[in-house]
Parts: sequence; C-alpha cells; structure tokens
Amino acid sequence: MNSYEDRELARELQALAAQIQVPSGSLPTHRGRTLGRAPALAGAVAVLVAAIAVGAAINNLRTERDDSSTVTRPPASAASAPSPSGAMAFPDYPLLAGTMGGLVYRIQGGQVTGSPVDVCEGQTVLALQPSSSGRFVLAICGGHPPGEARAIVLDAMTLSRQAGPVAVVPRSDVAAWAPDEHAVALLQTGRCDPDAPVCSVHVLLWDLASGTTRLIRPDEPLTYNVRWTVLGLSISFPQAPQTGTFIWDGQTWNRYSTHALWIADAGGRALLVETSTGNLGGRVWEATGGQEVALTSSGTEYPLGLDGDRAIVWRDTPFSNSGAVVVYRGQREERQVPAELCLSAQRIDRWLVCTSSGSAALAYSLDGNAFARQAITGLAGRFYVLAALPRSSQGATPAIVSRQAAIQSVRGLTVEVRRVDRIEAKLVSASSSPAWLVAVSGDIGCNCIIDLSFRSAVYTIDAQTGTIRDVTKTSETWPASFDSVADESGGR
Amino acid sequence: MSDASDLAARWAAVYEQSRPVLYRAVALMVGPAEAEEVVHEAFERAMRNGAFFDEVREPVAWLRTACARRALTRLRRRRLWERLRLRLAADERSELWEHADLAIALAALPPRDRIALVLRYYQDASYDEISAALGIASASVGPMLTRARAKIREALT
Repeated sequence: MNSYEDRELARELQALAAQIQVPSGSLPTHRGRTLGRAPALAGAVAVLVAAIAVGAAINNLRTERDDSSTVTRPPASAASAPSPSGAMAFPDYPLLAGTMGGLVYRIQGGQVTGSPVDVCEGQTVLALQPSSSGRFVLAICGGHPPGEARAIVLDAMTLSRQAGPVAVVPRSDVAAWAPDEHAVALLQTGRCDPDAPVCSVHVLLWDLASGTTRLIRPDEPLTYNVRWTVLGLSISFPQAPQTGTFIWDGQTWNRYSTHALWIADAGGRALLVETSTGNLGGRVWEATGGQEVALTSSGTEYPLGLDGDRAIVWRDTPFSNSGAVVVYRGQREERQVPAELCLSAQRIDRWLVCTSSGSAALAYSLDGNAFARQAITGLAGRFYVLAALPRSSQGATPAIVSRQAAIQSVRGLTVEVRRVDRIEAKLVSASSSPAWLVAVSGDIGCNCIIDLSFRSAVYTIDAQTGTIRDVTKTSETWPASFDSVADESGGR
Repeated sequence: MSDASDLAARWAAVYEQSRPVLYRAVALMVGPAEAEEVVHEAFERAMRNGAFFDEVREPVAWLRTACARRALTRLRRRRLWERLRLRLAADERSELWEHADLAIALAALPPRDRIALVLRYYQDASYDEISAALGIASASVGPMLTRARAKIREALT
C-alpha cells in the first residue's frame, strides 16, 4: 500500500468505518447460543431484511430482470408443452399498466387508449388491485424513491381518484380489497423505537365511504402479505413465535397455518408459501381440509391460481426472465408450460393474467393449458404492474361517479362542512340525469352574510359529472327525508 | 484456572479486541444491518473447534477471512435484492454518514471487489489472505483491486 492513492483510499475507508457505530454484543457460547443481545438482534435483523424487502423485492426482482439483456430459457427437458407462441388469442379484457414513473395506462386490444394518468405523481406504481366488481382499482404508490407510500382508490374507467391517499408501508403486499368493496385492509408504519431494528406495523381497515381508518391489529413488527380471500382477511409473519398466517374473524385473529396464505378457493383449498422468503415465493404447500402437503420439491415457486383439483404455480428460473407454469394435481406434477416471467397472476374467468412486470401481456388459459401473449403498442418502455378488468366493468356504468367520489366531494367542502358526524350517499335516477344524494350531519356552515350553523344537509350531486347541483340544509340532527329515499346504486 | 475458563478468557479477549474492527469491516461489505450476524457466525464457527487456538496461528486473521467469506456468500445470495438494499442503505447513510459518497460507491461495487477493497484498505490484509477469502488466485487480487479502485474513483469524481 505504497501509492498516494492507496493511502488516501485507506484513510477514507478508515474515516468511513469510524462512523459506523458498533452495537453492544456478546460472545457466543460454545453451544452456539449467545449470552446477550446478539442473537435476537441478528435474528430480527435477518427477518427484518426479509420483511422490509419482501414486497418491494418482488418488484425489485422484476426490475432486475427487466434490466437484464440475457433471457435464459428453461432446460428443454423441463418443457412438456409448447411455449407461448401467440396461437391462442389473448382475452379481450381491458388492462391497466402501471409504470415505475407513476403513470397508469389504459390498454384495450393491445393498444394504449387515451393519455396515461400520473396516478402516483412520479413514484412507482407498486401495485394495481381491481376491486371484485372491477369498478375500482387500488393503487399503491411509492417505494422508489424510498419513503412512505400511499394507497389510492381510483375509478377503473376514468382513473380519477375516488378515495385516499392513505399512508401505507412502501411495499406491494400491504393492502387488500374487502370482497364487498366497501373497505380496504392495509398496513401502516407504526411505532419506531430507536432501539428496535425495525418499526412496528399497524393493520388497519380503511372504510371507503367515511374515509376513516380503524386499527385492528396494532404495533407488531414484520407483518406482511395482506390478503382478503374467501377465508377472510389474513396477514402473515415471518418470525417466531407467530410464524405463519392469521385470519381475522371480525374480532379476533386466529392462526391458520405456519405458512403464508396466498390463494384460497371457495371450497377452502389454499396455496401457501414458506414464510422465510417473504413474498418472494419459495416452497409451496397445498392446504385441503386441514391437511397441508408440499408441492414444491425444490426451487422457488409462486402460487398463481387454483382450478378444481389443480394447483397452478410459477416455477422460477433464477436470474432470468423466464420460468414455467407448473400444474399440479395433488402432489403430482401434471404439466409444465415455459413462459416469460409470470411471478404473480390475477384470476379472471378462466384465465390467469400475469401481473408482473413486462412489455407484453401474458395470460394462461385454464382451459387451453397454454399462454396467450399480446404485445402492447403505445406504451413507452416496460410496465411495472398489470391489472385486468372484467368486461362487465366496462360500459355498464360509463358515466356514473362512484359513491366514494360523491362523498368525497362533500367532505372536500371543508369551509362549509366543518364537522362530519355521519355521512351517507344514495343514487337516484328518477330523472334522465342520475344524481347522488349525500346526507351529512355535523356542523354545516352557511355561505351567507351572517354565520349560521346547521346540523345536517343533503347535497345533490350530478352522478355523471360529479358537480354539486343543489343543497338543502336543516336543523334536524339527520335529514329524515333522506331515509325514505331508495338507493338505486346496487352497491356501486 | 481450569482449561475451560482459560479458553473462555482467551475467547473473551479475542472478541473484545477484534470485534469492533470486524464489525465495521463487515458493515462496509454487507451493510450494518447484517454485520452483527456475520461476525457472530464467524465467532460461533471458530468456537465450535475446541482446538482452535492450537490449530490457528492468527485467530484474528482467521476471523477476518471467515467474515469475508460469509459476507461474500450473503452478497451473492442476495443479488436480486441488492438494488433495494442499496436504496435503503443509501437513504440511511445520507443522514448518518459524512462519507456518504464513498459509502454509496462502495456499496455499488460487485461483491468480490467490495470485499477485496475492504480487506485490503480497511483491514490491511495481504494479497494471500484476500485470495484465500475470495477463493481466487493470488495473482488476480492486484488487478481486482485496481479495477475496484478505478470504479470508486469514477464514482467519486
């Protein structure tokens, strides 16, 4: 180490190292157990790394692969079915594609339609989750650059904001729609103890009608994998003593499995993944009638769907942009279909539409046992996440703003609606132009010369434009006439 | 003093003497989040060998190599997550570390280059030690260090 440059670098490294605070530690015992804080810290950190990384890492994985110019095909012996050749027509579902730049594109027939919407304002679109009807889409924005992320509910048609933003942990696996679309379960950063290696996490229910959140599981570290399946709302933990999945019955959390629940069908069958890998995939189990059997013999797999007695998973080829769909029947491997990357999928009718990053849309046909591929024109670069919308979500309600949007427009009158105790909306369409009636109680002011205070009001909102057309204010604690109006929204 | 208590005292001395440097070196290699675990593993491995002090002439050098090997294994294992970790680490460093540019440049190096650089310039390890830790020919160490230095220089200019 003689040169000036060498000495300079050594000096710089020494200075840098000197700034690293060395935590207190203890010498391991000869039995391999430590005497002090080290193992807990080390273990927690190891799991912490996994837990911090899990959600974003799956996207990271995509990014890593997106940047790779090498495409490795699976070994020829692994293929028992033809690779996607385009022979099967891609299903005609409207698609939404989110980018790392925060844009969401609408795609129909492989063609971008309209202008992209800057949903995430420059942050990455980490996830796009359609609601059960496909009328709404939950977007998770953030993570790149690092920092707090936001959950936003969008109208699937217009991509206009219907609710939110609400702060969430910056990962893709931190929120899930309630099946009735009235709420979203989400993870939010909780208490950050400077001595703890990781901030704790709250599990919250976000009521979309009221815009309020309710804490249903406070202050636990390393919570991940929020899912809302037919089994209920579930979360997973990678670390003992609560390793595995817990399901919420509305009041208490009950342990479901020591693995992480990913997918469940109406019959109670489920696909689970080992917890040690976070949501990066791993060994997959199938749960049936309380029994869990391992499907994966080796390697890393990602559950994609359940179909009758078949389980469909993605078998990963590490460090490549490829792998294969593997179809299990029981523990028997029935079929392999090599394909481009498909780390996650959305079940829609008889298709599994791949939602992981790419430049073309991929969908696996459960009937044809083959992939359909559709190039996308008009998209600048690759997408980060993809979502498919059911056909029924298009055209059925082309110009009706959502209930959430109507309520939000009243809540947004912060000068006039000074306090909200209760707020409800009903759709009426007796005339040719449908309208939302939004009743609100609380402290409602008056835009008049003298300051008057009312206790309730009913706002009439144009259901096609979202503009407020009329308002009636009363001194009643709740507008009694509102209760007698029939709601024609059909749950919209 | 019994053999057992003598052995415990020797380990305690080695631990006290070498842990801060080992920890800092590993933190430079894999980041502070995993440094504790790597150092812990190295000590644990050494202490499982009851004849360690009879068989190993330079305990600290042995631990340094063991830490470097473990760090390299971890870095290889986590290649896919590296980008995320870099972002997280960079975020922390920007506030905490004065030499943030160097820390970020170091973290951006390929795993073997990074470990070689830390071993050489922070821990003053010999080329032979570095080659043993990384499992490469001794003649390859010099070019590797030259390449790593060039990358650091390029990142800092």
